[in-house]
Amino acid sequence: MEHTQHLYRTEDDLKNFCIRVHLSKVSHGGRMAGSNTHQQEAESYIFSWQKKAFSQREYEFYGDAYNCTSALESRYSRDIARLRQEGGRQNGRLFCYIEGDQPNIPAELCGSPNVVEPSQSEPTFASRYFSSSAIRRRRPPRKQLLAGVGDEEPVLERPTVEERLAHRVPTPPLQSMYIMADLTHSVEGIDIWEEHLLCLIQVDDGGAVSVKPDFNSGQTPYRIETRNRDVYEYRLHQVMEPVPPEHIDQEKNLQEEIYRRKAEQLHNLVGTQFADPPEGGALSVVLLGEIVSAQGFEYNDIYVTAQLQLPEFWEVSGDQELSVVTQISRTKSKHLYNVANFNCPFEYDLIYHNITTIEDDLAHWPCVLMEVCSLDSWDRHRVEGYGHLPLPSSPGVHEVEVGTWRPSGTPVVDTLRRFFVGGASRLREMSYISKPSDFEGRHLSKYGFQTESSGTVDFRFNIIHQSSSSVQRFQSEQLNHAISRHGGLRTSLAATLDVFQRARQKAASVAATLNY
Amino acid sequence: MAEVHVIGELVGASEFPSGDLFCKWSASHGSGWRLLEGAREGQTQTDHPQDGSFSKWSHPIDLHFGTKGLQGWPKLSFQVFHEDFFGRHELYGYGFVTVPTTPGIHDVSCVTWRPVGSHRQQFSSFFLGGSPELTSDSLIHSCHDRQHLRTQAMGRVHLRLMIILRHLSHFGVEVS
Repeated sequence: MEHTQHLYRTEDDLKNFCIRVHLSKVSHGGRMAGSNTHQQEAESYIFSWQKKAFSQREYEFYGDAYNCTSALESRYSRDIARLRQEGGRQNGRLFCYIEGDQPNIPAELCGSPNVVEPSQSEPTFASRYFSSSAIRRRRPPRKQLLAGVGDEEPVLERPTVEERLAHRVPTPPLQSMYIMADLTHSVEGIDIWEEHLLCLIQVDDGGAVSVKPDFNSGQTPYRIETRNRDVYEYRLHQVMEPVPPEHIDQEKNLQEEIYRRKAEQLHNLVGTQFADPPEGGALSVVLLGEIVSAQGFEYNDIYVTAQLQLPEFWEVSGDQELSVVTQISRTKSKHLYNVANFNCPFEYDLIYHNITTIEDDLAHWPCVLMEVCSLDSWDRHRVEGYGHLPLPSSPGVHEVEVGTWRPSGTPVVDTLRRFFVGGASRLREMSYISKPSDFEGRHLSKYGFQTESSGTVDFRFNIIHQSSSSVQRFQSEQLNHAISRHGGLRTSLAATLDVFQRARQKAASVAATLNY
Repeated sequence: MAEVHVIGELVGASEFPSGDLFCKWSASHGSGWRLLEGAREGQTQTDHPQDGSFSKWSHPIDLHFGTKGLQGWPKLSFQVFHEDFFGRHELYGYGFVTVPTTPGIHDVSCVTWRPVGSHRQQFSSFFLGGSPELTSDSLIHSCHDRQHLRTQAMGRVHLRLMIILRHLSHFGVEVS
């Protein structure tokens, strides 16, 4: 079977698909039909997608309920009963087979018109193709391929383009509809049954609509010739109404409405509340720390004790303990070092109360003191190192590697004691790591204290700051941004507002110190 | 009223004793937070690396949080398992990461550990497989009772996270 088919893509519902077929008889047994008969024999009908139009034969057959066995046939029977009440069927020669029918269409009747009348107008691609296909069909029919039938050739030596396409790509499920013409004619009082396929419409899952032959409104009509040499012409018109603009608008509005409601719902879920910054100009610092790992220490099974040291004006919210002890981690070797993984959280909510002096007095920032110890198989703890780390003062993500040291006594004796007895020298007080608690002088000197460098500990910090001065800064930035959009006002107004902001900040800071 | 978007992927795992790993992940957060959209937890496929020891998962993570405060910043915790030739699953590592607090693209790596059992347990797991596991998954991302735990260093889990923050600066929050 060779046809031209034309593929259309649709996003619309297929029930809106309409095709109008106009069939007319042009000659009767080889003689040109008279104008009167021409009028009489012409017929036009609009088919909708998968909407059954009965032929006279089907009308009689399904009209008898005894012939109907399947569900579809009983439905047809009911439809015909209803049609009879309404005064018979509307269509004449034109009818269709829909999905579920089993049209028994002989291959030679499938589709293509036999004759194309030479015409003044340029023949279309379809008509040229049809004419060539008509010629080709006069050759002896090619052997049909049927699997499992004895002497049939199982190999297709020269597949056509369509066969190739059909074999290469997966065939999606199709829904078909056959538009037919019932060209039964009577010869000497005997009805000779003859049906011609006018158009085959197939729709696949992907929404591709194939119409073969293609619509030809305004072009040369397709012709068919019956067995008693009656010639019919038909045209296929696409009569789907375009979607009215108000429907498009309506759909667009509906989509916007859906989106808006969804956004609104999300907005309601989020709410408008948020924790206010601490009062009195204080700075809130959220410290999301993690003791990541330790490497390069002498012995195995190590743990870290980290302690947060808070200077004056700092406090920790809630009753969090200021020291954290990690688990005891066995090391694994990585490159040249032994690495112990801790992945231990080190998290505090801190408040700094004296933010007005923050620029003058950076020494008052908290720091972390830590002690790394190892545990041996006799449950003896020995000091592996001490370290000190000032907390990063800027918000953001920080990854810090801290070097450690441990006190060393007499070189050989100390090493032997560490190995055989455990223990070894340790600091009496943790605060000695940074600045001894009883230190009050101006110069911190640790001269005379012997240490040995040890491994390193990795920390990761996520730090967030929140303060009321940031709110003000944000608001003034917003204001400046708004002003900068209006270029002309910029110089005078921006300068004025800047002065005003500075004055306001000054007033606020004075008020804060008075309150304190 | 502030919102935090966490979009990214669980890239893979490296430095583990062997490949054939899969990972179970979940997000946890404080009471002031709310997961508005996205799946709170998931599990990757088992990846058998053809060369090297980097198991690639490329598992998507897409979370949208709303929050009323900074406390309880979300964390992602991971449990890495090894699937052996017989289809048995052995715990290979626990780990967590804090969702980065600065907006932008972050390549985060998370070190993992697993509990070590007694000598008897180690002997049996050498021949029969299996490994001790935590009774409660909440210990993965908390520091309580860690000192009673004896662990072993395992590999790393790699993540790529894209962070988008919304409205945080309205409330005087500085993140970078």
